[in-house]
Amino acid sequence: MTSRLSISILLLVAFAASAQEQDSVKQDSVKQKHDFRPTGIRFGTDVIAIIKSTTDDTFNGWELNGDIDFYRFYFAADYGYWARNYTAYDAGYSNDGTYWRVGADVNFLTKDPDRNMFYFGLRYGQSVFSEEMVIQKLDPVWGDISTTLNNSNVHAHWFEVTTGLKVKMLKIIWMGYTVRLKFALATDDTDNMMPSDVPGYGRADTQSYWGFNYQIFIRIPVRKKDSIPLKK
Amino acid sequence: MKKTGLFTFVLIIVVSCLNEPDCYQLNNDAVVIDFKIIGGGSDVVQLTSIQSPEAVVIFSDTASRIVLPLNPKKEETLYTLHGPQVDNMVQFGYKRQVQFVSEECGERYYFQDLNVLEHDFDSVRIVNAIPAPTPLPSDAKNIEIYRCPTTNLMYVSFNAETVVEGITSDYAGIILPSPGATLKDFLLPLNTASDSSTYQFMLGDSLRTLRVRYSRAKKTIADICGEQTFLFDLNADTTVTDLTVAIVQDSIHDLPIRNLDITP
Repeated sequence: MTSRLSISILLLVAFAASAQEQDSVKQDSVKQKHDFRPTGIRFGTDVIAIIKSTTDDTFNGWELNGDIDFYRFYFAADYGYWARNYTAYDAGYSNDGTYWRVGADVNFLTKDPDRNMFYFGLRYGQSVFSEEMVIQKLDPVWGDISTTLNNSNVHAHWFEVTTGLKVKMLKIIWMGYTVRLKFALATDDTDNMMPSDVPGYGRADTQSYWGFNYQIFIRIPVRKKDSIPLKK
Repeated sequence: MKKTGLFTFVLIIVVSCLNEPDCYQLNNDAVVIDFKIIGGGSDVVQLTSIQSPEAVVIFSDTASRIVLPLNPKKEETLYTLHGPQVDNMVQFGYKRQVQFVSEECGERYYFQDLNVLEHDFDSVRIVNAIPAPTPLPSDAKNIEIYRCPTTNLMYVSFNAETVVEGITSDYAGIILPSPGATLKDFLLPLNTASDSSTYQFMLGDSLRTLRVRYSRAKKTIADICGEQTFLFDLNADTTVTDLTVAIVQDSIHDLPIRNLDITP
């Protein structure tokens, strides 16, 4: 129910932006041929992951982001690492692993001369990780149930609906955020321990999960833009 | 301005939708067992204790439903159900996994694929192979344990509590082993090999007689029970009976329904 509501909200935002875009296209009587040749490549990193790694004892990770434009469409790819370390009253949990995502974004601000983006996109993500849990517990019925459990090289994959902004700050410096609704997580079958935290996704026991990145990019132009006309 | 509004809107959604784990009903280790009678309804069993080799005594009670926890250390749990007359055993098999939930909640145990590896009841049926969490949901039920019906117990009720020195029958001998017992409601076994059963009640100094006649029918309601004799058309033989008897229910049921009202 929550995930349906979340997807609906994201779709609504995208639809509103799309409708606005269509209105402005209708007003523009000049038909133009779109140029799908890339104009630049953006490389960036997630600032939140870096800050979190220094301030949060339970998290250590980083994420690299990149995209390349094909007119209003962008091919986007991410690669990251994260490790968790939790301590509960009678159990400890740790994991680490890498993940990647690929997908496409659609920019709804095609008239913007700076190529600022308000975008909506889809991603497919995969992760490979290992995890360990140590339980030290005296159960009132079953006595000592202390044990150590491991999962190695667990594969997981999922999908994401994304939206966000990317804004040009300086000549080649861009900043932006991405909001992710992650869903349809599937993991390998495991033996005695169910995956708890999937790098790149989050808690494995939820059907959908929100993610948020605040990113800084460097954009390297590969050719001069010539397909976007100036506003009349 | 528009962009700022949109930015804020999306940010609010993100913050409001971040879901924290819920520590409620983490483990689903409860096997809910209903006792039933084959061809009948719910059964009521009397248990003096329930034990597992790895656990202390769980409880003792009279119930039509019990809840047994599964052993999180193993993938099978054996229980012995001790009753006043007989003991029964049931061994569950299952798959169990542990999952870390959060620093606040700790770990949870998830059980699934519940099945019965071994038992010595008349019949057992798996209703739901996923054990229930605790506190139990209202519709929780995993296993039904069936027994064959007892077809010869007649439910007798005195109109008031009465001191009885002894009860004997023409085929089962002494029925009331403790003289001087105060009775109101009690069960008398009927002879399924005959069309009548005769009882003598020692009430104070006087010996009173009750003879009931009935019809018999042989039926097989389940293979496990074999052929059983069912009794109906109960009536008091007034030529012999010197008690005031009213027939309330003229057939034998399990669980027993009041058959005779007696005024001593």
